[in-house]
Amino acid sequence: MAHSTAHTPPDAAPVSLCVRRHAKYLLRALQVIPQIHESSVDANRMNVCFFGLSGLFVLPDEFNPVREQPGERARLVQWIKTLYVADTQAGWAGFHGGNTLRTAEQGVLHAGEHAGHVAMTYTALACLRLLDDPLTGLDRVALARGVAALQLPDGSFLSSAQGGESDMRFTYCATAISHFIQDWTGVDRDRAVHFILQSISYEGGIGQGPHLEAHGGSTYCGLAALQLMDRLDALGSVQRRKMIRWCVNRLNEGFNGRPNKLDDTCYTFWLGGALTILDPFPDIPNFIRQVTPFVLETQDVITGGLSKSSDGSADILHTYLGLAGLSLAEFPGLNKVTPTLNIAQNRDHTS
Amino acid sequence: MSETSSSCASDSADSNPPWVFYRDRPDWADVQPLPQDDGPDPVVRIAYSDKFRDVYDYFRAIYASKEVSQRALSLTMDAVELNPANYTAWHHRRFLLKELNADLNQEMDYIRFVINGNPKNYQVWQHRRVLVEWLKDPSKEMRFTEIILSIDPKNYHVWQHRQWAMAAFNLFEGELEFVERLLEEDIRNNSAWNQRFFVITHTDSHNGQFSGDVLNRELTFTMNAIRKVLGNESAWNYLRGLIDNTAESELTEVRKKCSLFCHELFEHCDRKSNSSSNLLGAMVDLYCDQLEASESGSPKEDLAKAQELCRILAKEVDPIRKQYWEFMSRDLLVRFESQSQ
Ligand SMILES: [Zn+2]
Repeated sequence: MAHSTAHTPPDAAPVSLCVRRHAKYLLRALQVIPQIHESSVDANRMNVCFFGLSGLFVLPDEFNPVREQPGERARLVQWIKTLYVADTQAGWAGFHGGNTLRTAEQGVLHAGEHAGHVAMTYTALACLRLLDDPLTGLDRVALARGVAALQLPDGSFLSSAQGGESDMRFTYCATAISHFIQDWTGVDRDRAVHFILQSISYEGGIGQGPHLEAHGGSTYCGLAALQLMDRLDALGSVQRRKMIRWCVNRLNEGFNGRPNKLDDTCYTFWLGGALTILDPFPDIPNFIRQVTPFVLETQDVITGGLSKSSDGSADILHTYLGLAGLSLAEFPGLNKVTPTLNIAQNRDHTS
Repeated sequence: MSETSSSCASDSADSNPPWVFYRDRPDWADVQPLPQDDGPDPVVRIAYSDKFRDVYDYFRAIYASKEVSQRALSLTMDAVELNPANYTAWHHRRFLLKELNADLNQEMDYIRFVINGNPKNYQVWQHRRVLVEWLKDPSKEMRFTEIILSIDPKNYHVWQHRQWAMAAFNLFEGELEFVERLLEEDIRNNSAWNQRFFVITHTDSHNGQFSGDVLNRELTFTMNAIRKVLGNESAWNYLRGLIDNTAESELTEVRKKCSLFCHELFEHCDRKSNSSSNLLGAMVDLYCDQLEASESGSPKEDLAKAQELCRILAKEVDPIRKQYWEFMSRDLLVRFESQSQ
């Protein structure tokens, strides 16, 4: 792939945001994923759907063909709900990331033995929120039970009831799900808060778990989870001050995710989101805005999409998180993203 | 078990025997493949290859029937090779390993091979962790993670796995030396600094508090690192971490020591260069500490000095964080103004 030639050479005039091309790029991802990506995407199709759809809702409305098309919205809702699984015996429910286990003859295989993956449940509910779906056909009580089944004694959450890793990502997902279904019975908030506080590293930021290195992604997840639980005040004043310092220190030309690591487009959202939630000083958008030239340089101006750096090739995750980050910087024309939920704000009713 | 020789692990090797679809394999003739139902109008539709479709059609079949057999186990190997991120395929593989009472040491060899090819995949590390738990044998973990770290010494997954193994099986011996080697190679390796903190917290602290010889050793180590590279945020964060976790009885002394160290550096550094930003920031913090603890002999002057540092940071040394340093300066005034009157 000749992506390198697609980037504007550094001595050229400052590039603008290629909104039209990014819209096409996001739409393509919602349609067909080429064979070469089957191995990376098949179990994570819900995430790809989220990045594509959420990206379109960040773009100016005239570039979002989904918003005003009831047929397309219905198609998306229908497909997302094919990934809904419920364990009837345990009373759990959740979403899968792909249809690996769905068959015409037998429906979802052994559907009663698993209740999906908490990250996919989060992205599915986020998509349904964007599509204004009232969660028809989903059992909110079972979704809350699905979350409850994942919480461990240390307060963290497993990715799935079948086992799997537990880290800060899933703490975030559990709280975002609870927010979407307006049912917090699945989260023991005191224990969840305890886990987040335990995962604050000596550096000031939050790691994926206790003793782990502070990281931009997990710092966002921990802070957003605290905010969603309305427990941001659980941070002591010293913790809060160190957290702010660690976050602002991530700024270079772009944001990096850890000290002495390279800048990367995705941290525009993770650090931009963390700082927006912390809201330490006036005009955070202006602070984030300093990375705009870096982010714009990572655009592929031919095919659309953003990459993690100016010499990389575009992918759907960095495309979405770059756009969402620019939205936090109040980039002209982009719709506002709700930092805690990582989706464009719904203008019809407050979220 | 002759699993590795019969399936994809060798398929991708030099010998490269031609791939035979499961639908064309006589020994699978008794199994009815189960195609995926993706709904009438799928989103994020994947243009599956024939091979991918074939393997997963048969995977669904054995998943549905819960067939416990060597061939099923070997099929899961093809499934995870085609998609190492498929958590269901890994889970089913573990189910079969258990049911078949399979040789888990052989599986350890296999997962080593897979991780080598996918060192940043969550599922493969999770699989390895479960195997180590089942075997209750962590003897390969330190060496293995060291090898993977030699490719990328900042790979978060590896550090996470290594810390888990160390904490679960008490494998702290020699780790400080390992970390020191990594820091010799790259003094800016933040993961190695974090690992150092992890080690000393577990082996050399009282409930996470440092004191005495350990504290002195760590302070010396960190200060030497900072003298080598002034603008190394990792080392400054470590120094701050030490101060914040110093035993109460030694706190005043440690703060004095750090103040002295900073002022010495300040005399000699290029105050306009961005490489001094961490130093100036640390000095602001130390003034704050003193004011907070009411240890300052001249609070009014100390507050003024801290604010002056914030001004230099905002204007000259660290202008991209101008908003932050101006906020810090205001914040200092709010917190300590009454004290300094
Ligand atoms: Zn990234």
